[in-house]
Amino acid sequence: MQEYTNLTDKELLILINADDNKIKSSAFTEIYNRYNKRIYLYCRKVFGDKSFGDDVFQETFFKFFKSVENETNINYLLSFLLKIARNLSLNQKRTNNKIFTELEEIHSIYIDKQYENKELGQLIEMAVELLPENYKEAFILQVYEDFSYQEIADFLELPLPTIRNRIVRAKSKLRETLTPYLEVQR
Amino acid sequence: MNTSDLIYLFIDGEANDLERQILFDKLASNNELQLEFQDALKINKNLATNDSKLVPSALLTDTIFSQAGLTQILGTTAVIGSGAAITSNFFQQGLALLNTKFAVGIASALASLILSVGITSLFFNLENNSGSSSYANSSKNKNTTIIPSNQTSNSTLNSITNTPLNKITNIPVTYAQSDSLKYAGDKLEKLNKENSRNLTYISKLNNENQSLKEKINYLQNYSNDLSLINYQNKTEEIEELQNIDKIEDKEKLNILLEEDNFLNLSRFNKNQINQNEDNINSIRNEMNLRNKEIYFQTLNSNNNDIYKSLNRYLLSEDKEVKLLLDYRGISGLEYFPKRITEEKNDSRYNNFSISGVIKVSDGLFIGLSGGQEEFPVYLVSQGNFRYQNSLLWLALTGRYYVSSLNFSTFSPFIETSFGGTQIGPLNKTLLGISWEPIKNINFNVAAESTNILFSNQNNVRSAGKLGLIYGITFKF
Repeated sequence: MQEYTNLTDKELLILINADDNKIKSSAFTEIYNRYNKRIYLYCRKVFGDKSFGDDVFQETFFKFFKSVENETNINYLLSFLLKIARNLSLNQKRTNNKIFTELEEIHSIYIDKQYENKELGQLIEMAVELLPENYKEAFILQVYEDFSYQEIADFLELPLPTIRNRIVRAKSKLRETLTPYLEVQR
Repeated sequence: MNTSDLIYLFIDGEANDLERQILFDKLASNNELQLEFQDALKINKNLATNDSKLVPSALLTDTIFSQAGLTQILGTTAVIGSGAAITSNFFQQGLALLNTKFAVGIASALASLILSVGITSLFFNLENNSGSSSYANSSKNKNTTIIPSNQTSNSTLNSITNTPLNKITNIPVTYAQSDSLKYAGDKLEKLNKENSRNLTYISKLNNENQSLKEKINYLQNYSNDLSLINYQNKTEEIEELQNIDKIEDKEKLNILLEEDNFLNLSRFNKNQINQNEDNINSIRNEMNLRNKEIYFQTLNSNNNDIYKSLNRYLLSEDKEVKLLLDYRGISGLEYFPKRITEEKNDSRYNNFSISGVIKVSDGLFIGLSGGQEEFPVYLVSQGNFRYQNSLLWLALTGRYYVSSLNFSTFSPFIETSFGGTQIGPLNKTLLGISWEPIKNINFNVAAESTNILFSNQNNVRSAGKLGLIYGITFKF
C-alpha cells in the first residue's frame, strides 16, 4: 500500500478504474486521503450548514467514483472534485432564519468579556458564514483551498477583476463584522 | 477599489507594483489605515491557522466507502495520518458540538436518559442479583445470597447444590454478616465461651489450606450455635463440594466458595443479641468490624425468591433511614453557551438548594428539591435584551446510593431531577459522593449538570451549566 502515496493523481485515476477491487479501493482511499479535508472544508465553509455540507461532501465522492470511469480528461483532480461539489449544491440557498440566528449568536459572543484571543478563530468562522454567498465562495477558495485569484476565476468561470472585487469585499466585510471585537482587543 | 481594499490584495500577494506603492504611501500617514492593516493581518493569521478543524467524521468516511462499495485501505503513511486527524478531530468536533446551543440540551437529555436507564437497570440488577443492598447498611459484599439453613430439615447446602440460585426457598433463619475479614478468632472464641453467645464467624475458617470438613470441625469447636448441628449433619454434602468434578454447575460452586458468600457468614441469634446492646457493641469491637457494621439478613419464608427475600437489619440502636433532608450550595463552573455574569442583584439567598427525599427502596430515594441559583440568560423581547441573572427552580428528584461502590464511610450517589424554572423546564444530573463522619449526618460533594429549555424569539433554546455542589444531608 505504501506505494500508492507516491503515485500522481493521474496514475491513481488510472488505477481507480482497475478491475481488481483491491487496487480500486487502494486508489480511491489514496485520493480520498489526499483531498477529503479540502473538499470537506469547501463544503462546510461554503454551505455553512453542517448537515447539508456533510451530504454534499458524501455525494461528491460518490459521484466522483461513479463518474471517474467515463472521465478521460481530468487535469486537476482537486478542481474536478470541487466542481462536483459546487454543481451538487448550486441551487441550495440558506434560509434567512439561519442568518438571523447566527447574528444573534455572534452578538452574544461579543458581549462576553471573558472571550479570549483563542476564540478569534471561532468568531471568524461565524463571520465567514455571514458573508454573502457569491463573496463567500471566492473567499473560501482563496483562503482555505489556496487558490490564486486567477485559479478562482478559472474555476468559477468569472473575470479576474470580479474575483478580486469579491475577495476584497469579503475580507472587508469580515473585518467590518469583527470590528467590535477587534476594537476591544486593541 | 479604495485604499482599504488594497490592504487585502497586498496581504494575498495579488497587488501589483502600483497598488503596493499607493498602499504604502497612504499607510505612512493614515493612522486609521494602519489600524485596519493590523486588523487585516490579525484576521489573516487566524484564517491561516483555523483551517484544520474541519475534517469529515470517521462515520462520514465510512459511509462514503460503503456507498461506493469499497474498502478503506489502511497502511499508508497518509492514511494513518489522516486517520489520526479524523480521530482527533472527531473529538474536537464533539467538544465543539457541546458549545452549540442545542447540542447541550440534546446531550444533556441523552445523558439524563442514559443515567436514568443506568440507575434503573443498576437498581433492578441489584434487586435481582445481590439481594437488598441498603444504603444505611452499606456492605462491600456483593454476593451474599448463599446462606445455609439451620432450621429447615432439608439441607441448605443440598438446596444450594441442587436448586437454581434464585429458587432457594423457605429458609426462615436469621444471620448476621460482617464485612470484615480481620476478626480475631481467639477473642471471638473467648467471647463465645464467656457469654455463651451464639456466635460463629465463619470467615476465620476460610483458609485455603483447610478442607471443608476441617472448617466444619472448626466451626463445631468454636460455637455453640445450633446451626452447627445442621452443618455437621450435612457433612456429606459439604464433602461432596470438595470434589469439583461432581458439581455440574461450576459457577454455582465458585459462588459457594467465594469468601464473601458462604464462608464469610457470621451467625447470631438475633433475638438474643438484641436483648443486650452492650454485647452488640463488644462484639463489634472484638470483631474489629469496619465502621461498626454488623447486620442481619432475614430470609422471608413466604417469598420464593431468595434474592428478594433478603432483608438486612442493623444490629444496633440504629433506625432505618427513611428520610433525607439536604441543604446544598451551588457553584457554577461553566455555562453553555458561554456568557458573562453581570453584576449580581439577586438576594443573598442565592446559589442554594434544599431537598427532601424519602426512601422508596434500598438505596433509592425520591422527593422534591428546589432552590435558586445563578444562571444568566439573555432573553430577547420585542427587540430588547433582557438579562435574567438567577433562576428559581423546583423539581422532582430521584437519588440512588450505589452501595456496591461504598468505601469506608463514603457512598457514591447519582441523582437526577426534572422540574421547572420561571422560564422553562429544567433537568439536573448529579454525580457525587457522600461522606458520613458523624452518624446520620453526611457531607456531600458532587458535579452537576443543569440544563434548561426556554423560549426566545419564538425559538426553543437550551442553556446549560456545569456546577459544583457541596452540602450537608441529615438522615432521619
